[in-house]
Amino acid sequence: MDGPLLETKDLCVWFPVRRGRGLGAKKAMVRAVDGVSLQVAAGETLGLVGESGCGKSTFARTLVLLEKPVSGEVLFEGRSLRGLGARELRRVRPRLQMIFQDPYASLNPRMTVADALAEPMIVHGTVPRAEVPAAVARLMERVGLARRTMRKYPHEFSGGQRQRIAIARALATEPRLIVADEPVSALDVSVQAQIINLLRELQAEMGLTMVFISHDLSVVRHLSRRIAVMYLGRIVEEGPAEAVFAEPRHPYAHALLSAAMTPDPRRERTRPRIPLPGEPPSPIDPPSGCRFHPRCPMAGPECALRGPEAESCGPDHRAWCMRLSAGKADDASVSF
Amino acid sequence: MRRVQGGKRGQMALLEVSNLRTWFHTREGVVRAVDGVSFALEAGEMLGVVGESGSGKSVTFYSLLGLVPVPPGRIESGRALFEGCDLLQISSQGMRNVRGRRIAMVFQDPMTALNPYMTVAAQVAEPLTVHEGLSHAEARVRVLEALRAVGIQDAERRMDLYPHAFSGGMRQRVMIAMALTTNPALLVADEPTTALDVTVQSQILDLIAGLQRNRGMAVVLITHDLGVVARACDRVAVMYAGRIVESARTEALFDRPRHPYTEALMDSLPSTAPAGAPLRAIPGMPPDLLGERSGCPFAPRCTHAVDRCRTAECALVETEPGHATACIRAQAGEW
Repeated sequence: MDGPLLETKDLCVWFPVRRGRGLGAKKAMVRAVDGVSLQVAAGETLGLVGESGCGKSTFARTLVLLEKPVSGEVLFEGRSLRGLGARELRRVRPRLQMIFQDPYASLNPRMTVADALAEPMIVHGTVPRAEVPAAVARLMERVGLARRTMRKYPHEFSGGQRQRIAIARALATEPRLIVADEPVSALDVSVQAQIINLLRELQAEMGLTMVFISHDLSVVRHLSRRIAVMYLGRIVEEGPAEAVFAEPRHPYAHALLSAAMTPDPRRERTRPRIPLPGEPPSPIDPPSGCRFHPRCPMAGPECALRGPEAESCGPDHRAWCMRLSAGKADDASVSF
Repeated sequence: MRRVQGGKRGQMALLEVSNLRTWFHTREGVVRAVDGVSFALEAGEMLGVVGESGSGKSVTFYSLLGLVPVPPGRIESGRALFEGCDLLQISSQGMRNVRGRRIAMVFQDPMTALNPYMTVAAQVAEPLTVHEGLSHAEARVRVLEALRAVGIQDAERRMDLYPHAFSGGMRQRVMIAMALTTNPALLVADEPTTALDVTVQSQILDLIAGLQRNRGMAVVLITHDLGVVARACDRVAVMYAGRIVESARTEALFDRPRHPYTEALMDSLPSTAPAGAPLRAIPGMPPDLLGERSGCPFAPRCTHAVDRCRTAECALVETEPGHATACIRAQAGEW
């Protein structure tokens, strides 16, 4: 198939909230995702990074139809997911699966592993009934769970093993797209690496397309071919992982990547870091113009006035900063 | 007073812990959460204590501060000399004079560690009124100073707000302000940045490091993140299965780990892996701490293990000045 497997066009997901108390309360909108356009090619991994509250989880949930956009659309295999009827939804859903952060909360405590894995196969009819037990056994083996544990309940497993169950469950319907929202964040370091390796192997083997979300930049870098950096509901930079990590062009991306700590004491103590003053503003009334301008070390007066357009900064690499076109961000990045 | 391993000659350590064992007596049996931990901490030093969940890093310091619930917990053995008195022997009254005054603590989750029903000013003032007997007005002045010192903007107005009005990073600053009001000699920070965003983590670590330098305060930073250790700590103790398996100065530890667990942990990180290659994961799982063990607790997962690793007594021994390992093969120069 030509074209991206997944595409979002100007996607906006807002949530109504009440501000103030009692009778004086006013309705307002939390603009969790506010105009995100991204493309993910078949078989590739897009890493989505950003800090809490930037909208990355809402974006992820919208991709797998767990949230409804207020405007814009998600296209999967070239078709809009907007306004699909129940029958069509049933056809699409098994192809879009999600892995959640907390394997303690995402599994039903009353279902054995075998039942948890068989359920999606039966509901979506992806495997004939008679073959379900064999398919479950194969799946367990594939994710590294001993077959003899199939009658056990989630509480009998460790965190890493539970995440294996959650991964197996996501794979049960033979999806094309996996959205993984912080899938290794709740795990211990030594177990994290096992799960990351498993995800990589599965992706290569099954030709999966993945949207991978994590606050751990080293994990994202390891797994992703492309990276998108999100700030306050918008993408501020996207491009090939190596290019973005080597030379982030948006001031926020630059600050975020410079804050990540590496296990190298000499480098950690000497390398420059860009301190970011303050904290992200509220997504209820985001700043005018460029959303990062109140905290941006390079903002000029024009940044408050209008939103930035995408600036190309290399093959397949874009950043939304108007100082880039003016050439000023380049000068400033030298003095970082 | 004994001289201390790793300590400077003739100088007494601020805190000296030897052979601490904290076990939990549960229905399933005895869980040896901390099983023979010894270390020393100099005044003004920042010590990183690294380990995975269940390695005993938090329980070690909870034991020293009398915060382990008894029962099921019990301190089976050990000594912990701090400013000349044994923390494990003093009365609960004595402990109240130390805890929060000479040794302060910052916890991981700033969302639950603050009382939602008290204003920030009232909470930060509490150690001052309790430990120093200050009046309300005197305490307020000190609270304001403390909040400004940890970088809370507009502190005069915001001190009378409740915790919910503060973001995660700001709450952690409030926790640190509260810990520092009494000028403690030692700050124990248990995963102080784990619940925070990357850029905020960086701010909080800088804040703690700055306070440590300016006040000459010793800091114990409990963390699972080797990046945090590399960034901030002078010395590191690596814990596994209730024991310290390696301790060294930070650079020495990262340059040349002398315990296979430390090495495996570093190798398993995505940031050290070559692009495109699978990570070198540590096989298996951390051990069950239930019941008696013999030999090296890491042996079942260790690629360097030989038969005698499974039976030998693995004590922490210095192989170079200031660098100690519990690996018997490293001690014998075989690895």
